[in-house]
Amino acid sequence: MKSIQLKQVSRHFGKHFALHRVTTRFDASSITAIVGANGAGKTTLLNILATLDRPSSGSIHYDSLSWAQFARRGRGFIGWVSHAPLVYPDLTGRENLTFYATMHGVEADRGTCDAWLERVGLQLAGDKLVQTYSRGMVQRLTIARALLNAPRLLLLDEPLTGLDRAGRHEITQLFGELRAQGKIIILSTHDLHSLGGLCDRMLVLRRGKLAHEAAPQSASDVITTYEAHA
Amino acid sequence: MSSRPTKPTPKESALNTFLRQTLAIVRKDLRRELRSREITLTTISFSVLLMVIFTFSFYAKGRDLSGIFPGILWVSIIFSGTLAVSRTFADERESGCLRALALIPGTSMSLYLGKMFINLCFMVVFEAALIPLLSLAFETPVAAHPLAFFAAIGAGTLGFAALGTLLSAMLVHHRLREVLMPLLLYPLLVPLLIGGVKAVAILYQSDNIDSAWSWIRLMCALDVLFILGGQVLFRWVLQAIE
Repeated sequence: MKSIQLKQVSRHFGKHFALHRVTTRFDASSITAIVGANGAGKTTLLNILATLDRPSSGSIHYDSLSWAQFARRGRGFIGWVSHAPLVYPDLTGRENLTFYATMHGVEADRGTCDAWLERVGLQLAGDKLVQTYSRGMVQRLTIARALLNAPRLLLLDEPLTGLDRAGRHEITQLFGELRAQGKIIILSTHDLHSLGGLCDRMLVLRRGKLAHEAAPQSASDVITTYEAHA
Repeated sequence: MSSRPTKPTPKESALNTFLRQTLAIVRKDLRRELRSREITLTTISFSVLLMVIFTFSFYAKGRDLSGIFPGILWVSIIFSGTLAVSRTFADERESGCLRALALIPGTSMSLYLGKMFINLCFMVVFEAALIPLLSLAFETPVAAHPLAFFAAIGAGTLGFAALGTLLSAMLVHHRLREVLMPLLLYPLLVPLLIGGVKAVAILYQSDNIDSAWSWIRLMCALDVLFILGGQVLFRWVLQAIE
């Protein structure tokens, strides 16, 4: 997938506009951060891009596929991390990964799951029940689950929540590697400090409208832009 | 280490994808149930409790209970089964996994059939405890035609699991799901239940085995309708609850 193009995309719930005429594009080999205050429309935009929510108006094209065509044919290319953990608490980390790998039709052997567990720093906790994990460990597992199917589009809602300093470093490094592989990475976060040096582009949403687009160079750029436009 | 440890499997047919996904769902739910025994213990305890209540209510030495046995049997199966099917998507709801599953292509059919099969397994487990206990308590040995008897129970259980799985998905995010489940499920089950009660009653009270089989055939036709309808509707239900 090379790009996603949004034209005048709106989403309203009754009279309330969660998104209002958003026009932008997301390119391959890039990390775009969506920031904004609570209720700005970040999660709505991610849900629409994940084809889990339908736009009320406007058009979205994933390369040449429309939103409806992509919803039918392209969901297998999406890796999605949401607010909810999306893993079963009474299965072990390894069992969760094996289950999702089998569902996706990717190699679900012990080696593959071990490789992912190691990649997100859970190699020692793979055989423990997820309900015994800390918030950060669940988040690591959630990220591994989202990457299992080698997605071309990564949609990450608050992906760094609960991670400690080392965890943030490891996961942001992983995102950098995924960007180098040509993936489109779109994430929403309130953790502005982590965005410096990570994202190529930053979209600031304010009350459902795209208030500003920028290409920040550092964490201080991110914070300055956010404070000026959010 | 590379950030891409996943090895894609070769292209496979739609049937293989469906079977792989269905088996994965069944295996996952069985593993979780073997670990917690939540549904099996609840349904077995509840069906034993019902049996005790019915026994104390209706049993009297020397009284012929074959007339009321079919009704009591089906009421016990339906009430205990409701406990099992209403929990079908509870874990997916609590962990949000239903949305993750919805993003995997081709899951609607496998999710429905996998969950239906699991419900069927749970029901067979509690029926295996309930039927002998109820027969013993009511001094009503399994009918003279065990094949027809178990065919009737099997057809009723299958239809119940098919409809219960669909309704459980429909109500998964509803605040009043526990209340609405029986309110929606029982009226839709009425034709199947009438068939089940009639078939079992005939087996206990007369030797007209052909008549019993005609009720069982009707139940099988309803099963096919429920499963096919469930398959078709489940896709829409899954889209709606995403």
